Amino acid sequence: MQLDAHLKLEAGQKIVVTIGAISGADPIFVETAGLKNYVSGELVAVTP
Amino acid sequence: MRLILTTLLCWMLAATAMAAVGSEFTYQSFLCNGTAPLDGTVDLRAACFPTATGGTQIGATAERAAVPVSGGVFSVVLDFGSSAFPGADRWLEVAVKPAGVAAFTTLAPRQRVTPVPYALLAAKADQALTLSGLPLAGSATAVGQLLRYNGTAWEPYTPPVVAFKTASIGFPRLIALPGQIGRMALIPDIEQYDLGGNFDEATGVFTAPVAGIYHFHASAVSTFGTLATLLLQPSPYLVRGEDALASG
Repeated sequence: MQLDAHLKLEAGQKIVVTIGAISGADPIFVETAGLKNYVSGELVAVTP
Repeated sequence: MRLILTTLLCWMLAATAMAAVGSEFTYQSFLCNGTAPLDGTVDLRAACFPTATGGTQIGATAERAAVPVSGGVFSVVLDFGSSAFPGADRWLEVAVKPAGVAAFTTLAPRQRVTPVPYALLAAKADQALTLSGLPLAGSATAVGQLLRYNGTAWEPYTPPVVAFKTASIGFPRLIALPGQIGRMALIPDIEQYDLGGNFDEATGVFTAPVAGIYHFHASAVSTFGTLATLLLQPSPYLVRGEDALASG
């Protein structure tokens, strides 16, 4: 899974990376989604 | 003795940094006694005005005693203060008297202060009052700062340093999002760097320090392949992980 997003944010605005099921039906799904080995996140660039 | 100021020969304004050389300038002119160039000494007074006649005097009157005059030519150093010549019209009123005579004779008309042709566009400037016609703020600029127009003046501006990178090796922490079923905040447990300190590794929340366009990248490996999705979401509802996980 990959996420690449450009967001226009105001100063003080807060965001977080989330993971979930495509259908979004089962809360257990996320905890048992089998995430393994490697998860990374980064802010690549900002253009104020 | 009848003194006539006949020719304004030279008018030099010090155009270098005021902080380095002050606001003095050299004034040179020509005096005649009748029709003959004057030789001898005179006492001299000079005052600066914004108009050819009348007007409110600018700065203090400069008085110089025993100024030598040779062949009609004399030279004095004057100073009306650093703010006397902002670019507006200025006129110089000169009065002279022979040494030992009580009363000064004011010479007429006042002499208009005109620029030296190539001082209209200086090749170098030590200080500027405006940039593109807009005023400059007086505050000092530090290393690494830029100039930014704030709507009123150019001001020093520190560009934001914003960057972070995180990772999790193994199963990452997840925090439930109240009101959202089947979706949880993903909290990496390794903060590789966080320039600007805008990423909270305890909650996974990034707070934008300035308004702008932000580009984020995230990736995760799941045994379920593409059945899971990563999203960037606003986090006004995010609560601390342990409590949320306990209740979720």
